[in-house]
Amino acid sequence: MSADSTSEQVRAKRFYVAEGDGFVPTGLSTSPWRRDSQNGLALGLLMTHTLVRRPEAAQGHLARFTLDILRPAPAALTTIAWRVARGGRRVQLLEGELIAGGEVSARASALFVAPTGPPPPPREMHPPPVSPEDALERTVLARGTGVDTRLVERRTESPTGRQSLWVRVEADVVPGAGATPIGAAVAASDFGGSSLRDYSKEWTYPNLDIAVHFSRAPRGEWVHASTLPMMLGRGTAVIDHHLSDRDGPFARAHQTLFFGRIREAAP
Amino acid sequence: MTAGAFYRAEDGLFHPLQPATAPWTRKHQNGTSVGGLLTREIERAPLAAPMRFARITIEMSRAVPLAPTKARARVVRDGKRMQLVEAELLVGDEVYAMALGLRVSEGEAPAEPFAPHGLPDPDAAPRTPVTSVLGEGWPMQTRVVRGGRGPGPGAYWTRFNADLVAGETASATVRAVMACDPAAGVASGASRDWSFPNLDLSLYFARAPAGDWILTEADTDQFGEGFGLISSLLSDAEGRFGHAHQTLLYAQAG
Repeated sequence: MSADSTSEQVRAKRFYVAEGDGFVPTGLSTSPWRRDSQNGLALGLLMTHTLVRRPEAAQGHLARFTLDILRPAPAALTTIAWRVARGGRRVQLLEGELIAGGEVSARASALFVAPTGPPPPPREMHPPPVSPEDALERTVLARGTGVDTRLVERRTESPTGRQSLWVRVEADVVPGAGATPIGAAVAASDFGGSSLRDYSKEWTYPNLDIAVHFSRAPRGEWVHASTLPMMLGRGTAVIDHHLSDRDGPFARAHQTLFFGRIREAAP
Repeated sequence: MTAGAFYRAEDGLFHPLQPATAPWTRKHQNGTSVGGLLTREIERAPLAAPMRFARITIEMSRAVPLAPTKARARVVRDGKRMQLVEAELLVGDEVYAMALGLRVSEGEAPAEPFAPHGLPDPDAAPRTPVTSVLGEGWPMQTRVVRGGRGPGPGAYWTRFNADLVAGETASATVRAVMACDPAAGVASGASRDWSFPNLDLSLYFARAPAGDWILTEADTDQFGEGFGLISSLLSDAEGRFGHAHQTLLYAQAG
């Protein structure tokens, strides 16, 4: 079977199925920490899927996106409500709520900016040194999870201690609608935990949030995440992602990971 | 011992004093003050168990008038090991600035050494101003240890010698928020032909900061779309403890 037909098969899969005003999660949206809940990557994809269809998204650049996971989102009918918290000519702030099983499970915010006048001369941009086509051998997620991951370098292999990973969302978010570049950026920002696999026998480390700070609009399907945790032994790790597309850097992102000894309850 | 303050609290309102003045218009409050006041308000939200900040996201795209200001906070989610609190600053009945704070309890967790900043201590560096209003000597002392005023990258130490609110000792977390707000002074991403107010300020903490001095190592990415992103690494005397980001909106000056 060729790579293309594999990809088409996966695309026939989807994270959610639309139902009325809401979305029903599929198996791809299952949390690795709790089987009866949705995973953070799926929540981020669904939030951004609805966000980029808002009129504000056509009028400006997304400068910041935050997602706060308030409680495990049950694998049940999910609805999303966005409201304009601050509207203006040059700046729009949207706040969103994700309601799953009748309860608010996550909150998001999105800051859009619409600059006027000529921009200052841009900074020089360099693409990541290894392309996704040159990183075929190793993955951090199994095939069939809806996300194609290409591991370039583990933290232990890198002189800077950073994990380097290409991510592409293969499955549709809902039937007929794949991830947008913004959705792919948020999805790639959910892979901080994959840089901590040496700890996975003793610890759980779900993330409480995802925050993405953009320096330009991302382009294309593939997102490169260069990832370094800051772990000072105080209950959490702050994950630092440098996000790039094939052209070069476009965002910085963070996750707060909450550590628990295995068999302890998640927060 | 500090001299003076950014605000005086009276009758449930914060009265901005001279250090709270914005550099661009002088009719508004500056981001250092606004960020400090919002962080302080979240810090004062009641906690069932001890927690520290993991993140704060401050929205300051609308200038806050230089007028008596009300601060209020609301707990969005109170978990056993995490709390999410939002805060607002109002002048009259109108909301001008907002923040969302994530606090977490400190449990056992693995630790790894993090690369040191390798920059001179503040005592070994010359006194240099980072902004035109918040000068070198008062209400904050600054020592630029990399770069200088310009597009960046740059780094500076900050110590406050005025109270945020008269008569109160501000926490190191509040002072860290205040210290990194002027980062565009050393990392604007553009020449002085552009103005570059920041619309927001977000901090991410791997531990609570401590001590007087805060180091901000700032660098700015902007790729010709009219906005920019400052990314800062934050340290105290013990080493690096977190990250900060600001969105800059460029406009031609003059």
